[in-house]
Amino acid sequence: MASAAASSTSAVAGGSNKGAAIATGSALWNRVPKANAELFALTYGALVTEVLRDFGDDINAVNEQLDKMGHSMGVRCVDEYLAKLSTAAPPCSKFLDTAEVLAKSAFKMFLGITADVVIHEGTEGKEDSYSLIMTDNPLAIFVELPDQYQSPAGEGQPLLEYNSLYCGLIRGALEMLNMRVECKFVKSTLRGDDVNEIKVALKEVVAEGAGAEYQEE
Amino acid sequence: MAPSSSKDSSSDSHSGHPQVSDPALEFLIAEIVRYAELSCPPEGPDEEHSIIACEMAAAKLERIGYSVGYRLCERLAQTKTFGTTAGASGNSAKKDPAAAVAASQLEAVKFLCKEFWIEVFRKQIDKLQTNHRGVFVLKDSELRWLTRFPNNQENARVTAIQLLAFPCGMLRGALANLGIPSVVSCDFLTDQQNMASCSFNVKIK
Repeated sequence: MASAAASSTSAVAGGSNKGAAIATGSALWNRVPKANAELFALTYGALVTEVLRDFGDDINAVNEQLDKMGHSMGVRCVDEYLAKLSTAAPPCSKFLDTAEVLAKSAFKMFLGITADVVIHEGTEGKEDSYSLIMTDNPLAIFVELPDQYQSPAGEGQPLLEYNSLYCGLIRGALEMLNMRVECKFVKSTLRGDDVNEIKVALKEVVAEGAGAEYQEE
Repeated sequence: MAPSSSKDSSSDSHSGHPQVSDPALEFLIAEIVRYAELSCPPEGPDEEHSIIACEMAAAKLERIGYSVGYRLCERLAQTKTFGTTAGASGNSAKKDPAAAVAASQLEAVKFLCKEFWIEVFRKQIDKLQTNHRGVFVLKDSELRWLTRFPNNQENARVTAIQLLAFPCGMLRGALANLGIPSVVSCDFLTDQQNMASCSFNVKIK
């Protein structure tokens, strides 16, 4: 435990907290109670089916609904994550710090998988972003998309994003850390890509502290 | 049975049996309950309308549960055979087909109480009662998904009843997968203060 704390402080200085994130991830994974991943996947599948049934052809609304659910799950996941940590969390004060923590600790704790990180440093006029690359996708075991959802119906038509939940999860979790991000599935194994890639881009760092209405007089 | 199964699940985390964390599943189910509630808004201000809306939401959850239970049972029962092939029940089948049907139904329900329930809730059903005429009562004194609900609060109770539609649907789906059409309803066990104890009434059609 002491070494984990020490490495977390060095991680802030070094900027690369991969090793600490992996250690934290497997420590958390060993601590949380487990559930059957097949049950999880089937439950999500049944949910997507139901949402599709409700919204019918409005694919955008389906994606949005799944994303919204992910968002409120993400908000709760942060609480659960912080509550289960035994040592002080390596502070995610910078946006790019969150990449390894998400990929190696949080994904491990909640889904039992880890993701690889590719950082895209922000250049002039472009915001910082990173990609999370997953080979396993616990939400999509057993899943095969019907043809009509594999490719867009026509030019500019929206596409069903089965994994929208992830985007919402990440968005919700990072919102709790005062970062507003945009999340997008760039590659999906369900559409024939060889990996899943989620691109996370920073939009805005929300000001720390309570809103103006709570300020002391 | 229970301790050995928990030992299995911890050792399985390294082998092929895939797992996710329990909070992830719990949050997902909470979201599903909320979605069902929001997508069935009451059509009017009256109490009658809100009761209908509640029923609609419960039906939706039941339907989602049905599809989960149906598929999960397909996975779990892959290697199982029920009733007729075993020697003892095979003999009784010659004597009395109705008894054989009842025996295989009982076996199917027992399978749900043990293997199926362990996969979903990591524990067995605590008590199984039957009248041997197609009615089964499955009692669980601590349903995992309900343990975090506060006791003695009306709105928590309403939500808990809605949530219970989900495992009801799962049971119905699992039985349907085993070729047994049924009706499943549920109730809290009123003799205890604890909200997490509930019973499922299975009536085979």
